[in-house]
Amino acid sequence: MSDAFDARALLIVDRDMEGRLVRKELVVLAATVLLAIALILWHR
Amino acid sequence: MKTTFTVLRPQLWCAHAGRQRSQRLRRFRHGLVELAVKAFLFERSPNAKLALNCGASFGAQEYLPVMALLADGVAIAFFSMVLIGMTPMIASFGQFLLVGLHARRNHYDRCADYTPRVAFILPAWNEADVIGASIDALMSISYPAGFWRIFVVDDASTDDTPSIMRAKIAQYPGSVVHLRREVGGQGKAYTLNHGLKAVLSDEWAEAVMIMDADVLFEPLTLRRMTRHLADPAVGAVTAYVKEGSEPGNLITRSIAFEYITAQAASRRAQNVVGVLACLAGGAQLHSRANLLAIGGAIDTSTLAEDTGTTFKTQLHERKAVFEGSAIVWAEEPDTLAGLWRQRMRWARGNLQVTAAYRHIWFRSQRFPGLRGYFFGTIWFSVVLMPLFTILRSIGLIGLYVMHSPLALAGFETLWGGALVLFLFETSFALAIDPATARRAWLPGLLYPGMISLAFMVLACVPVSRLVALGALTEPLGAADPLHATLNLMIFGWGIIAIGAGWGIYRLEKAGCPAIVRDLLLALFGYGSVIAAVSMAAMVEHWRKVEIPWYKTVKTGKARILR
Repeated sequence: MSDAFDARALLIVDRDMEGRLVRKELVVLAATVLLAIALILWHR
Repeated sequence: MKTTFTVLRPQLWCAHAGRQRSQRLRRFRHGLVELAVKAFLFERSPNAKLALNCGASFGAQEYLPVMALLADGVAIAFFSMVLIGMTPMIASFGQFLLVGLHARRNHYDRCADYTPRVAFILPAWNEADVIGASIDALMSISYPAGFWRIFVVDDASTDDTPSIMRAKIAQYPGSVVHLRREVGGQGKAYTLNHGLKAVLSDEWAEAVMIMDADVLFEPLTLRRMTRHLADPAVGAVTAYVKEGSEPGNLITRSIAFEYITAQAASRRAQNVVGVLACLAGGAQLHSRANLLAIGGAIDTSTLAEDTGTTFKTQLHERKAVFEGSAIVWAEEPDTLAGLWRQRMRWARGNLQVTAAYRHIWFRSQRFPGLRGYFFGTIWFSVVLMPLFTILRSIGLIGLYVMHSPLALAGFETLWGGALVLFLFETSFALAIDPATARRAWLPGLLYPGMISLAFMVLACVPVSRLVALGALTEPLGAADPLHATLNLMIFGWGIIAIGAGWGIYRLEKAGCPAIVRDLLLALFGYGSVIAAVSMAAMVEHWRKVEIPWYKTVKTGKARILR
């Protein structure tokens, strides 16, 4: 059973949200790696 | 002759070697006892390594290499305990790393516009404060008219639940059904089974939503969940349950943050590898076929009935999927007493599940499934979390007592690693759910507690600075008693924090003001309370203490917060 609701549009919105999570993760991960490198260098 | 020689020669050698070995073993044992005595009597040995002291003290220089070797072995064993104790941290980090892959590895490709007839089952035991709002929210969802019904299973409520149900039946004729048990109080699983029996007895329902009486559905949540059931390989779908108490406090906000990590992050990662630890009891949608396959009933032998259902679904070769965009709102405990009861039930339930499914753990080296190494590691990292904490603390204390150079290395590895992982996971968690982050960023930052945060920072200070500060590097025997105690507390902080978590809970029970409780929570961390409950659950499980069904009290504070 289907109605007039645009389920495809909803799916696109949710997929986009998942895509944004990847970009956020990459930014946070890059910052974390830089921090870890900085800490290691400070120790040396 | 040659044959005799080759046979006899090893025998002679063996006899000789055996004598030597037994002598060495005797010395070794002697040394071991001595080492233990020296170590645990806190011998004052500021200038020499423990191994040398032990060897020299009983005047046997020839034992020194053995003693040194032994000391090295013990130090490596302690250091290994620290590393093994870090397993939950590494497992958590691994899950966070997988979250990003969810954009590629998800179930959206097999979704379709599918709107089956759905029966909502709401178990209700004295839920007069919340049941009306839950039904109103459910009747406001976006879904084809006439394609969902609400079955409230009234577990012999003694409050106004029956009269509210009469009003709701009149308000939504044909959509709300009141099922009443005359004898109740056995627990959620029994109540659900009463409802399931009624729902599955006719063919109307194509899918069943199992939920809690206080849970508020957003308008599009059901649509977001049913689309996954278009794939017959999927047996069940779970939503993202968010904490929605308004007004909230430090405890509810900590839970809100915790749910980002435990659901929005972890369950996405579990989607990626194709295995789910738990379908949230607050919102789990099953296909009719799946419910019939697992016996048409919820397992009543465990207190974690939702986890039991999750395991059964997947062991019947059906997928369980987490839908992170399908959001429901729930009221969670706002006191430590309430939190303790809830988490005790969860932790005991998880231990029951662990024992009941003991035949599945670590059975497959292949990637997916409950039997895989990945799932086994994340499962036991949660279930045995306090034991890992204790293990790493013992490792650090042992290294410190031995005055091993590895003590500082262990401290830095543990707490420095904790800082890096904490910053990554907390920042990413707040980015995953910005709406919750706006309300719960501070409890999120305080989750480990300010004292643990201080240790994380301390661990990142280079050794030369630590030496200058005179901290951590001074051997136990050389330190004054206050300094030595402080150092021992720092190295054994994991154990102390678990004790502190229990202490804060007891203080609240004794009537300590909320402001003092919150201050202590900020110092020692909400995480320490969670660890303390898990530890208490393990002790109770081991002692086979009977646990009654604890119902989490709901007062109607939950809101749909955007």
